[in-house]
Amino acid sequence: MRYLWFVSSWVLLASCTSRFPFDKYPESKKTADTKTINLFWKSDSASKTSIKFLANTTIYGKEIKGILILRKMSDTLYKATFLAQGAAKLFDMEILPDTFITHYSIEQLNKQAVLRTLANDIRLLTIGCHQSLVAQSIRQSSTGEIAQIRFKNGFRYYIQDAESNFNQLIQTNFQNKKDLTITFSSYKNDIPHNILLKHHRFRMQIDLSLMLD
Amino acid sequence: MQIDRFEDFLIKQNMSTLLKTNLMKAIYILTISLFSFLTSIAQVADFDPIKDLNGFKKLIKTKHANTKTIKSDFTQEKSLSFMDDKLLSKGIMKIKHEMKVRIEYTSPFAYLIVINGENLWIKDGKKVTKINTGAGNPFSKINNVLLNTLQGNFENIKGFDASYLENKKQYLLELTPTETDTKKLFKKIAVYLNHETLEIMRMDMLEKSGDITKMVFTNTELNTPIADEVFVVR
Repeated sequence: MRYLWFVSSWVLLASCTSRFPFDKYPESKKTADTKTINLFWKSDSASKTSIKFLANTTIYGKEIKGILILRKMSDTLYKATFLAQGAAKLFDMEILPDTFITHYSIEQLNKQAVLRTLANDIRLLTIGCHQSLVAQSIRQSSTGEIAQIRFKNGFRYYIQDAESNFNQLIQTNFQNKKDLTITFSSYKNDIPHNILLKHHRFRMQIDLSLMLD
Repeated sequence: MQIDRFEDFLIKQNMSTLLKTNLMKAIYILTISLFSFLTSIAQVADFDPIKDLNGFKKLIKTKHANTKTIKSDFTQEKSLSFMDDKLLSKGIMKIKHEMKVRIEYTSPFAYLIVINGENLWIKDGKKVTKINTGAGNPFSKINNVLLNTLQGNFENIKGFDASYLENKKQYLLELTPTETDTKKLFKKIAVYLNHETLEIMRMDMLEKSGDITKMVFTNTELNTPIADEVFVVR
């Protein structure tokens, strides 16, 4: 009886976030097991150029607007800087496949949990969107293609539309519940101009609009 | 206490404090830029100490006693040392005696800062934040800088050591932070004034992170009428 509360709570929590219904996607055709994704830095000549986004971050109803600047240094090293309005710097960090290095952070952000979350999000946009992936499964349908990649205890799902543009990247946990969804839209010249990054376990989202020089 | 989870941090952390601190930093940068109009200085090779410093200070004081309003376009170039990159912003700055300042970014953001006496407004889109900058508030120090600059009382500017330089074309006011809170933001601020007109031409801010923010002022107009309503945000 004393476990009833625990079990009930667990069931309730488990039902709060939606399970990603990968199995419901039609399995009309299986393709190769690798998938190459290259969202922004599409060629070697474009490497080491920076990409700037107008960023609107909402955390528990509070907004922080600014500019996110990303620079590719190599396939496994990216730099990221976030500036608030008035060009006040919030953080500088280097993103690597399994870690990150913070070079500057304002005092209020300088907490390991916060910087780790920001680094994970940026890693997904940079390294996570510029690599050859070994997929556990790739399925095709008339509406597009979905690749399932194992990631730690969960999965990442890369979803392409019929025109081969990536619409969504979904990261799930060990129960295949959504942790994070990144939605890519407003494609021009094969590059998404709007990106919405939404966390499902806490109220945080980052809305990015590509800045044109 | 160790905070391991991001959501725990968010609940424990007062996000408004974060926002206000960064707004303060941005406003600090902008406020210091107001020196620009009224004073100014980075040690540059062809600059020498001002020979007649008292005369210069008297000139500045007279100039600004006769200046009721100032309007100028500005271009802000931020050089990011870490990224080896630059970011350009543009806007319009308006100043009116007594203690009325409007700094309006037009690109890449529409973003507005208005100071009117002890009130400070920040407008970001439709969202307006009002802050009282009375005694005890961190913004009161900014107001102090602003007030003394407007009045030409450079000796009363707190938190910086000032040195005064000149060449044939420009005056240069070089400000070095002396207090902990200003040292957190800047290594040095340099304001360049036109030698003839005493109007601000450029201001460089060397930040602690190694970044450099340069503000160049153009189309400066003095004593053109500016309505009081411009310095109120609703």
